[in-house]
Amino acid sequence: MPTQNDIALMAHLMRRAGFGASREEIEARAAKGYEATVEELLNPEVQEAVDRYDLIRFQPWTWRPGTIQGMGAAEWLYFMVNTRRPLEEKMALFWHQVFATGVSKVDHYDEVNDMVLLFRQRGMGNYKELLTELAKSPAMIYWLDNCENHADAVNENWGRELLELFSMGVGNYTEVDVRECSRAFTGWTFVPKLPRGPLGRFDWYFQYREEDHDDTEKTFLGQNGRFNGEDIIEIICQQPATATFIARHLYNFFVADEAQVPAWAVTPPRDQDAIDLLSDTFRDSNFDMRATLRVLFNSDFFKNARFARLKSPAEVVAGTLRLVGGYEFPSPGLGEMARQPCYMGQDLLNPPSVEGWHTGTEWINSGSLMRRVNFTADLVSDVTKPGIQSIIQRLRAKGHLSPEGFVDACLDLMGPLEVAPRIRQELVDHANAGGSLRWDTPQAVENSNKRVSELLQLIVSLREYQYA
Amino acid sequence: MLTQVAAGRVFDYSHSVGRGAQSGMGFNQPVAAALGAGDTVYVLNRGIEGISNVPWNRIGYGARVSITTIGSKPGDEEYLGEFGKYGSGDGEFIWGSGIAVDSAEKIYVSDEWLNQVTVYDKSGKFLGKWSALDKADGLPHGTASMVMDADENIFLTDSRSHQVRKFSKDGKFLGSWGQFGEGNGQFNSPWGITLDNQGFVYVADHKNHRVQKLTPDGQWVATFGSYGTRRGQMVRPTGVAVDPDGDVYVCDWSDNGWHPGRVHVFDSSGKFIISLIGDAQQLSKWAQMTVDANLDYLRARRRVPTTEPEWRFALPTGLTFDPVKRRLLVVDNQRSRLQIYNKPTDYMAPQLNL
Repeated sequence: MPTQNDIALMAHLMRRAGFGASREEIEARAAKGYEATVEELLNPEVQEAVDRYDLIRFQPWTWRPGTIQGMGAAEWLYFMVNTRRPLEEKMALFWHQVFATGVSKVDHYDEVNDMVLLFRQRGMGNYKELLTELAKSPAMIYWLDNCENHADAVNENWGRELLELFSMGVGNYTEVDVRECSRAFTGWTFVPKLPRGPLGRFDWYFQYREEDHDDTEKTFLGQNGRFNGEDIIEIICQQPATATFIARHLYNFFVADEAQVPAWAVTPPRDQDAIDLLSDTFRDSNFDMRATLRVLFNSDFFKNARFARLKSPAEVVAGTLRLVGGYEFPSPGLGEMARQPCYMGQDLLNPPSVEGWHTGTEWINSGSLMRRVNFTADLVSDVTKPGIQSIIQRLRAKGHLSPEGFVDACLDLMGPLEVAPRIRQELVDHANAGGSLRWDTPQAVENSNKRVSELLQLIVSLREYQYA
Repeated sequence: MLTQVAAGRVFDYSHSVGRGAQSGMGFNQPVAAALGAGDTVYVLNRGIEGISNVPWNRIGYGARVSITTIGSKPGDEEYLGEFGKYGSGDGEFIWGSGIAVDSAEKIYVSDEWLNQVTVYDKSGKFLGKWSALDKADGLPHGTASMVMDADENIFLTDSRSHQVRKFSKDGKFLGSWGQFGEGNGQFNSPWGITLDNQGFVYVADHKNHRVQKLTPDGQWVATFGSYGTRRGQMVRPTGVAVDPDGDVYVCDWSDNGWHPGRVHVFDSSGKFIISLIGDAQQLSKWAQMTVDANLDYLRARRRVPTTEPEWRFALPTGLTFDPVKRRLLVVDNQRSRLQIYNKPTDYMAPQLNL
């Protein structure tokens, strides 16, 4: 029988390695065991994948969406809400944050969605292989101008960001390295596509143009050779800075809010031992993300980091939709739903820059907080939704509840959430106005449903609900 | 190949009609087409979800029924008009899914979100609507495709209750059959539906990756195809049609080398004949107008190594066979067009050694 701490720990794992889970799922997983659950999350192939054609069947526009802002993320939100492979989807979100690429420039949602597909398929595999595939991604090539990087006219955009934001971080290379890196990627481009009019969107395909590649000698990070792109990635991966850089990203995304990327060159990690452990594992495993994640999720620093990071808007939206349930079918309005993270400051598939989003408290301003509260409160207020019904049934099973018991039970079922005594007292004061929660008459049931709806709305409005 | 000869049959690509357009000349994510009088075709457009810059104003763009002639050669097509729009009011639909025309040229449009059938006259005037739910059986419903029999009763597939339902054309429930499953007479998300000359019903059993032939009261007769990508196999069949010779056409989402989309042809016994993958090597009249009006499109088209991706089907969702002109209309959903293939009986093969 899982203890309350087992439940809380499993809820923590599922918030971080996924988008939260129902109490039923948390209890089932807790009974199975923490490490067994970590292994299941790390090996998603045992669970059936979401089939995008189940969405396209009803929402055919999602196959190659137009560029109406925010709508192109509909497919991704559908995956987040329906996936039985939560860590696979979370890793896609992680890599989208690291390898930030946006439709603001690419102007083809489907091409950026193809990157998400790459992250979904390879995100828990080998980082070096992922980086190589990323370098061949047409969306990335266009985003960072590598299609304009020619043997006789070098464009440094991709080469610079590869070093600065995708692998090593500022301070670990020189301007000469940027130049040499960029030269090695000359000729990495894509085949032009048919225009979007008059028949809809077509695809880019990676193309290596040997005649446009600078095949001469290069000096990169102290090594000499007639390097091509793959050689550069090999050298990058051997650098200790790369392991540290990925470790800090993993820590910030999965463990606790950190300083933002631009500050990493001058701000030490929040937990140096954790970063050392993750970076050592990353290197020792030959850049295997699965092995690194296994160490992370089983570590004490992860287990002790409950509610140490703010949820991203995508986590707020997908997590709350999964909590309340009833949003699994691709109903009309899916596109609007996909825009909700955008309203909260995270326009999926369209990050503000190649640096990705700033996280932690930078997610919050007066507008985005209002959006978070209104969105989540609106969802949990609907007592007809299966997830809310499940909470109500669990409350009913407890019989009559005092105002204190009512508040404690709801906080438990919504997390378990840990709130300060002052906050709890405010909730109890609210509950006191209605007295005990009763279910013994139809009128009492109706009244109690309404009170549950109100209390859940207050709970999702709490600061604590915004933390994962 | 524009012309394919197989098993004594000829499938000769004719032309395409359409382009992407939210109104007027062209279509927007068309899902089904029905034949009207003469050369008229009614094309049901699913449209796309769109949101203006205020979140409370959710809108669907492009949803409508287009009225067009398709002609017999490239450039013959003429836009005649359109009716219906996205919404839940009279004459509107959220997820238009099936279309049929009766002998009085009334047009019936099914809606798989509102689970209703809306009736229009041939000018698009709203005449009425009726619920396509047979009873409050607690099942989720998704009234999908439709076909009208010789008595002008309507068969409707329901993709979410995994049934076929029969109604009179004024909406009286006449019966239903089928249930979820993989066995004969069972379905998993049935979609396209048609009838042959003898009244047998053919259902595109979408997620069972097959087509089932059944009697009008739901008795299983035969199964066409199975899951896979080899000859005669299929992946998520969407539409089905039968010609007067008894040949059965199935469009599905198997890969054609560029996109998901093929049309498989079987003889009446279920023997596989051939697959079509889309052959629109020439832009339609309306599509050409778009290109001619946009110099950047023209330039962009000249720098691609091949235009082949645009020849091919992309998620086709419907098939209609015109028995009078002996031609197959393929509703090429993502390319917002019809691709038209003739099935001539007087084809003269050229000398092979030319």
